[in-house]
Formats: sequence, structure tokens, C-alpha cells
Amino acid sequence: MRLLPLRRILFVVAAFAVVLIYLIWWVSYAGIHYTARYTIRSPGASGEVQGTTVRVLSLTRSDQLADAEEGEPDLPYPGAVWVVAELEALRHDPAKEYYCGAQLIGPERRLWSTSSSPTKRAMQSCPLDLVVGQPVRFEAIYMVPARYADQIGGIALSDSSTAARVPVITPPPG
Amino acid sequence: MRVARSKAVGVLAAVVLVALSAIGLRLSDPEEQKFEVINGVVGQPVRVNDGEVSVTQVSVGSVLKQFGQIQDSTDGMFVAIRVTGAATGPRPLELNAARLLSGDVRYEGYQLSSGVSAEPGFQTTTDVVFEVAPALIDDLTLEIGSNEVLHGYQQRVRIMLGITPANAEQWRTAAKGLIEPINNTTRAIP
Repeated sequence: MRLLPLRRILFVVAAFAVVLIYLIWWVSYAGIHYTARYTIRSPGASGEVQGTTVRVLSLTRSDQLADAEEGEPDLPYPGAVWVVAELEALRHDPAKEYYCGAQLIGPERRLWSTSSSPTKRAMQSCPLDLVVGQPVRFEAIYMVPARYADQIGGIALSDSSTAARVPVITPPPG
Repeated sequence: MRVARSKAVGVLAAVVLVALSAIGLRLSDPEEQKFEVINGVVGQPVRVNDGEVSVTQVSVGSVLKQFGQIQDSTDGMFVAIRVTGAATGPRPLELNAARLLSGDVRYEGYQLSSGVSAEPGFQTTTDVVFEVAPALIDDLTLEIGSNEVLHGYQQRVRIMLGITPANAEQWRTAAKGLIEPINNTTRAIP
């Protein structure tokens, strides 16, 4: 009967160990990086996303969305309110583009994406082609349940292409 | 230190054969249930991971009217199921895959008709439409779940619509007329 050398057995064990370590690493990595983590900035402070500095100028709650051309105001769904964020963005990295990822964040990390409205607004919505070095102001419109309107944490500058913490920006005090 | 090669080879071969058998069994059984089924009844909300879903109305017909116009007619029957999905938790509710089951028969949604989704704190009501064969509607059950490709834990809600072999003929008779599904309506959860 022939015997296997210890070195060969150790090699097989090592191979299994490498696979096991890889699996543990991947599960840990996915657990950390596929769950969004947030950093709340101080009031009025800006956040960085996709080579662009973004800050909130104001966050306004309203029961109706006015039409700049004196058309009918847009009403939210029953039990909901509008939240309008006025933002300023300054693109400083020509190699990156800002894709307007800005979600409203509420209690227990509830996230609301921007809503569209048929009303003509005085301020533009987020332009996709920001000129480098030129600050641009725009508004983002959200509809949220009225019960959460007083618990808004700020604007989360989401970027799915990175595992970095998501900055949450809030308007300046007052 | 040395161990018997024949014994080690035997053990390794056994492990490989067991693994191959497991893979073969898994591949040969595509219907194997890889999700949790939550059963419900019409009129009662069913709790799922990110909220609640309920069926409040079932209507049938053979002529489909939408947006004020006749859109289609069928030799079979249309079934419109009024589904409300409420995102009661912090995450959005995305039950975007709906189908009807009757025994081994499986009906996919009519045209673009799918499930229901809602952002946190909102509930959406919609009519999910199916075209079914009138002879194959016994124990018709709505199955609704998410359509995620990658998921760790999936749930599917199954709600029996109350169409049984005993009353199937009444449903077939009722399906002779017009059916007009509603559009999506959304509101904050009261």
C-alpha cells in the first residue's frame, strides 16, 4: 500500500483554506459595501459626490407646488406633502460627471427619490451637463408622507459606483 | 508522516460523487422551491419583508377597457385583481412580479401588467390583469413577489382568489362582459 506524503495533504488543506478565506472575505465585503453607510454633515456644510461639491441652500415643505406660469398648482398624493430642496452644485473634476443622485433621507433611513411634476417651476431641475468650475443652482422635488415631513434628515448624495460613505447634507441653520 | 493513498483517494472520490449528485439533483429540479411562501386570503393584509400586500377585489370579463377605450377582447377571460401594496417599513416595497397559479398551470401578467411597488410610507393600489383559459381556473391563486436576480431571502405571497371547482361556472358566466381595470393610485399610508 502506497502512502501520500504529508506535503501533498497540506497542499490540499491549504487550497481549501484559501477558498474558505476568500468566501469569508467576500461575504464580509458585501455586507459592508452593499449596505449604504451615511455621514451626516453639519448644517450648511457641503458634500462631495462624483467630482462635484453639493450643498443645500434651503429645504421647504409645502402642501402644493406652485406653477411659475400661473397654472394650477400640483397637489401631492393624499396624506403627503412636497419637500423642495434648493441645491447648489460645483463640478470641479472634469473626469467625473454628476448624475444628480440626491435622495431625501428620513427616519430609519427611509429614502425618497425625486418626483416629477407637470408644473412649470421658476427654478430648473438638476442639469446633467454641469460646466466645470461654474456653480449651478437647481431644485429637487420630493413627495413624502406628511407624518415624516418633520423628521427629514437631509439630502443623501447617493453614488452607487462607490462604496464610500454617502454624505448627507442639510441646509444652513435659520 | 504518510497515510494510505488508496484510503485518501477513496474518501476524495466519495466527496466528489456526493457533490456531483447534489448539483445534479438541484439542476434537474427547476421547480424546487427557493423562496418562502406566505399564504393569505382576499381582504386581509399579508405582512411581507418590506410592508403589507392585500387583494381587495377580483373581477372578470372578456372585453378589456382602459383609458376610456376598448383595448382588447378574448375568447378566454380576463381577470383583474385589485392589489394594494403598502411600504410600512423603512425600505421601498417592490413586489413587481405577479402570476396566477391554478394547479400546474401558470399565467403571467397580461401585457405589461405586473405587480405593485411603493416608496416608504406610501401605499399603491393597482389592478393586475391576467388572461386565462376559462376551463383552467380552479383554485386560482395570485402569487406575487419581487423580481430580484440576486437575493438572499425571497418571499412570495400567495392569495387564493375564491374561485373553486364548485363556483368556477359562475365566474365563467360572469366573464362575458366588460372589464375596466383601474390605473395606479397612490396615497400615504393612513
